[in-house]
Amino acid sequence: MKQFMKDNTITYNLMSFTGFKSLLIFTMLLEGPKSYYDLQKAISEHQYLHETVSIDTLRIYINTLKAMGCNVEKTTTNRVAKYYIKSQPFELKITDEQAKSVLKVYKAIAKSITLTDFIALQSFFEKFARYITNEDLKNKFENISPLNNIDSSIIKDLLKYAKNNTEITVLYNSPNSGKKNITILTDRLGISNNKLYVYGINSEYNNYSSFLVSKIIKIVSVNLQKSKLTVPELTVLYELKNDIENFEPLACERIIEKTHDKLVVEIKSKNKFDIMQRIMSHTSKCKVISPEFQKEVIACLKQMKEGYFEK
Amino acid sequence: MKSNKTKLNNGCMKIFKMLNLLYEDKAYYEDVVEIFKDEVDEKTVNHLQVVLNKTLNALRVFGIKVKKEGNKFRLDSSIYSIKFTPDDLKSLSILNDSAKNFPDDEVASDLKEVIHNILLRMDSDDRTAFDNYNSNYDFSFYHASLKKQIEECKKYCKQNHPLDIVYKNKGKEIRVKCSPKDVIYDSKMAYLEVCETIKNEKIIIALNNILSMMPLPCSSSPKEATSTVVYKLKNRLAKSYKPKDNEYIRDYNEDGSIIVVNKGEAFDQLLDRLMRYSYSCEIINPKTLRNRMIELINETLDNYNE
Repeated sequence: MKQFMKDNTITYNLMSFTGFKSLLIFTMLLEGPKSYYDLQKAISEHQYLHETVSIDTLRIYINTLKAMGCNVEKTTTNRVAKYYIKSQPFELKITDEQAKSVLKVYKAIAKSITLTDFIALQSFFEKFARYITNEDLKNKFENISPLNNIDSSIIKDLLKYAKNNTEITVLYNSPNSGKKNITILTDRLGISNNKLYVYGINSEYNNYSSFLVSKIIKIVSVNLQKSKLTVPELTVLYELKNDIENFEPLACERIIEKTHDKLVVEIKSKNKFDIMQRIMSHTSKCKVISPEFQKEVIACLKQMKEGYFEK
Repeated sequence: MKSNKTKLNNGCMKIFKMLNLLYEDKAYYEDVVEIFKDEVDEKTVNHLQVVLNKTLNALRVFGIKVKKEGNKFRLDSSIYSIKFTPDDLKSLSILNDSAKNFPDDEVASDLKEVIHNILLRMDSDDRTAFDNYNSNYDFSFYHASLKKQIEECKKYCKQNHPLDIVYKNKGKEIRVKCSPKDVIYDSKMAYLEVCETIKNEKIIIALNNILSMMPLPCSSSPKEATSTVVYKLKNRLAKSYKPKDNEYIRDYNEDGSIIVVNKGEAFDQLLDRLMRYSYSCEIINPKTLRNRMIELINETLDNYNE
C-alpha cells in the first residue's frame, strides 16, 4: 500500500483485482444501464486494470451480484441488452420500531424548532420515507407535517416576502368564494392547529387576517414598492388555574404573575381570532381578565351553548 | 447436458460479504476472517492475512475508507452514498441533538441507530459538513426528570399489565382502571396513553399528573380504544376542514355544514380541540360526550359568574 501511495502503481501483490473489478461493475450498474461492451471498455481502459474480460466472465460477475442480493434488471436499447442495479443490499433500511421512535422524537421537538427548520425536516422525512417498508408508517412519515402537499418553493417565497413585509397578490382557492386573487401585505408565517398560515393585511377588507398556505395556488405578483405594516397589536390578559405546571407559553405569550395554583398570562397578537382560539383551548381552566375581550369570550360561549339547545 | 448450477465468482462474493458486514457495522475481525477461511494454506501460514489485506486494499484503492478500531473494521466512507442537501444535513443534526437528551432510552437508541446507519451511507464531504454542523437547539427536555416514571410506564405497556391509576385532571382527582398502551411525548411533557377498561375510551394522562399507579393482579387481553365520536362543523370551518388521521367526513349537508366521524381520539384532548372551534362545532354522538361538552361550556361560563 505504501508503494501505491508513493508511485500510484498497482500490482497483484497489492490488491485483489477480482474484488476491484467487482466494485467497478457494481458502481457502473448502479449509475444506470450498461451493456457488456460498456463494462469491457471500462475495465480495459481503467488505469489500474487494463484487462480484457470476456462476456462469459462478466455474466458470472453479474450473477454473483444477484446472488449477493443485488436486484439486477435487464433493458434493451437498439437491440443491445443493458443491465442496471435496481436495488442493492447496502441500501438504508429503517425498521418499524426505528420509524416509530423517529416519529415520537419528531412530535416532541416539532413545536420547538423554527419554521425554516421545520420545512427542512419535512423534506428530510419525505426523502427517508422510501427506506421504510411498512406502508402505514411510510404514510405517516410522508404526511406527519402540516407542510405536507404544499409546494415548498411557495413557502420559501412567502417566508422571504413576510420578512420584508412585502405586498403580494396570490391566486387563492377560498373556502367561501372559490378561486380569486387576493392582495396581502404580508406579516409572518405561522402554524396553528397543525396548519400553515400566512398572516397579513387583506387589502380588499383592510383587516388583519390569516390565509391557509395550502389554498394558495400561486403568487401572481409582487409589489416591490416598500410597504409599511401598521396593525395595532391586541393585548389580552388571562388567568389560568389547574394543571399550570404543564402550561407551555406560546412565543407571543409571557407569564406575568405566578402563584402555587394560578398563572396570569399576557398574550399579544395582531390576530383576534388566534387569541380567541387559544383562550377557548384552555376551556374551564381559563378566565379572561381584559374586560373588552372577556365580553367577547362570554358571547362566544353563550352562542356555543345555544347551538346545543336550539332545534 | 447443461448444468443448472449458476457459476459464481468467489472473489466477488468475498468482497461483498465483507461489505455487508461493514454496512451492518458488524465487521468483527473473527467474522471477517470467517469469510476468507478457505484461503488457509498450510504451506504459507500468513496467506489468509495476505488475502484479507489485498481485499482491504482493493476497497481502499477504490476509494472506500475502512478503519480498524480494536477488534472491528469500520466503514469511514461509502461505496454508494445517499445524496444530502444542506437542509437534510441540518435536519439530521437536529435529530442527532434531540437523541442526546431524549428521556426514553429505547427511543433514543433507535434514533441513534438510524442516524448511524445514515452516516454509513454518506460521502466524506457530507460527513465533514455534518460533523461541523451545530443545530443550536437545546433539547434538554423538561420531562428528563420523569425518566424513572417513563421506564415504569413503558414496562407496564410492554407487559400489557392492567393498572389502577389515580390522576389529576383540571383540579379533580380521577380514578381509572385501564390497559396501558404507550408513552408519548410533546416538547414539554411525557404522557401515558391508556384504554379505559369498561368504556374502551382512550385517555392520555400527563405523567406528572399521576398521583398513584397500581398494577392490578390479573393480566388482561389487549384492549383497543373503540370509541367513535360524530360531530358537525359549520360556517367557514366546514369548508376548509382537513380531517385528522383518525377521521373522515361522513356527510356534506346542503347548508354547507359537514359531519365528521372521529375514531379513537382521547375524549379530553378531543373536547379541548373542539372547544377551539367554538360555535362552528357541535358534538352529535355519543350523548355522553355531547353532555360533557355542554358541561364544559357551562363550567367555563361559570368562571365569569361572580
